[in-house]
Amino acid sequence: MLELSDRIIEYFGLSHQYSLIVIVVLFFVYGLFALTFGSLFAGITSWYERRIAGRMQSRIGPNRVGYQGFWQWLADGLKCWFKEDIIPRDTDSLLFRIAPYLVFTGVLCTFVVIPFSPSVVGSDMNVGIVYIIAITALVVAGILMAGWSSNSKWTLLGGIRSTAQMISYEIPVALSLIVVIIPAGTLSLQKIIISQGGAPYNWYIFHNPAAFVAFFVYFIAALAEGNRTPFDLPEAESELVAGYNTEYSGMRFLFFLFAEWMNLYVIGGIATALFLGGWRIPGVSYEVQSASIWLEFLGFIIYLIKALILVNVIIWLRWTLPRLRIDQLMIMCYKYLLPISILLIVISIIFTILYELFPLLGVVVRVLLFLTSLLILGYFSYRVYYNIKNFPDKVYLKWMI
Amino acid sequence: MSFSEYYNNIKNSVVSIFEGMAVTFSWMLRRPHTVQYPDRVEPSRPIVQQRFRGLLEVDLNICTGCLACQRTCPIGVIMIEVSKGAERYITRFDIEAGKCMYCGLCVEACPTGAIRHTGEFAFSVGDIRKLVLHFVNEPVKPYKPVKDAEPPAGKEVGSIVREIVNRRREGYTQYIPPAVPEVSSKGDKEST
Repeated sequence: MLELSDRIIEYFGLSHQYSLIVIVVLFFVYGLFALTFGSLFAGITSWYERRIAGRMQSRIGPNRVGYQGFWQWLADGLKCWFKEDIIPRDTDSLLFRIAPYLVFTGVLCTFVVIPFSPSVVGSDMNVGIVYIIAITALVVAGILMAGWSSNSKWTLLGGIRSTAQMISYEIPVALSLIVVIIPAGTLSLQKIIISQGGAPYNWYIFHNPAAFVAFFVYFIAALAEGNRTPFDLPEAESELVAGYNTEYSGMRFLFFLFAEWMNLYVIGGIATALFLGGWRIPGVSYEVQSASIWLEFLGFIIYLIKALILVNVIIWLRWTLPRLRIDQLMIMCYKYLLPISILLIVISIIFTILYELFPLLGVVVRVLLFLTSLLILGYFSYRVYYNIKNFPDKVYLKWMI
Repeated sequence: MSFSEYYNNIKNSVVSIFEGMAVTFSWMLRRPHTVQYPDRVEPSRPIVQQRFRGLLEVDLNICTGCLACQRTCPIGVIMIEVSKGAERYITRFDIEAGKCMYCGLCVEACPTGAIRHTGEFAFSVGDIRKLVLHFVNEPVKPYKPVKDAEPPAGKEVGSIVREIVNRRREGYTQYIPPAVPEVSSKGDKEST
């Protein structure tokens, strides 16, 4: 952001006494941009997820409001906007009122460090990843507040489950990110992206076998931290009505959902920045990319596409896997993800030292891992083809119904 | 937990998630099975399955008037009246569609297959009493099964109840039970 303000001052030929004003205005504009981006993303994803869910469950999904039901999210939002804001009598009124905004703020604040392109980033903190892990603790506080203040069995159970789950799963998230931080040698998201290359085999996911596994560990743990299916125990509707947001209505209820769907982009965005090369364009160096505004825009598009692919996978997982039981959830965290991620850190350290000693080994391992993942993707396509072939229903790619 | 068990747990979960995602992805590429009733119904696609248990109907061409269905019905949905005398006549055959729970026991009990489920399901009326389906407008002679012979081909499944439903939609008329005819007046009568 500071670089951007310098460039703007230079571009307009302003004197440097205005730099503070420019920076404040830029922060304000960026805040509005992040808020708009997050809210629009959350809204549109709510419609998109329902369409995808429909197709995966052999139904159609919302298709009445506007073209293919695209404005469904706006209709739902309007509906919630006009609903009565009910605050039950026996609630802790203040906590009940502010809890949804805390959850929303906790997720939105991660947009400060998640980059969009080389120079469009809220703040390129040198402790970016630590900041993300720290600021998402607001979500835990907000959900626990919502669960406690509603003064209801369901919300309390949901809130406490959620807190246990999110605190537990923060550990594997943080540990699996360390696997990437070791070769990168920095905590700043922008510098991690810069230290990766544009081509796929230069991404950190293919840096060493440990990083390859760490990507999946991070993905699973982040899903659990974001209360997404198959880890949506806090809002297990068959057991807890709706979990911590049972007593909420109207816009306050919607803020929880905003946070949930914005969190999808946050999960995808962090994974993209750390493992999938971020906004790097293959064959273009960082200096060249940050000098041209069009290449910056292309980087933004590339970043968005990568993040959206991951969001698609999250949605796809939601409609594939059943919900875990609470003890299975804890077993998965403490018996599987935690030891595995500690082991991965050790392996990553070994590989990083080995690459320093033998630079050729790094290239070989990267290319091999890249080819392995291509093979896995190929086998996956074969399994999809097999499933389609061995079922009487024909392929029907017409999306619009 | 031994190491091999630990390893197998991880392997099984990875493999099953992999396969499961392939299955759901393949379903995303297929056509949805749902029908957008009622305004975007495609004529080529059947709305209900062939063995759908919709509204009951009676084909009086092959009804023997044995009252088996009335006796089987656990909640007394079917009301049949058969006139006594030298010549038996079915004077009343009512099915209360509002009460029926579509269990299909009467269909199983029927010896000739006269009572049967149809694919019809759309029958909303403003008054629950209008949900009573009257199948007999004028007394009908019951069908006498001939030994070692197929019963005559009945009407098309659903056509009878569809006719009643269509008539009922136009306006509810007071139901007047038909008078029992004198035995001597007429011989056979065509079914309604």
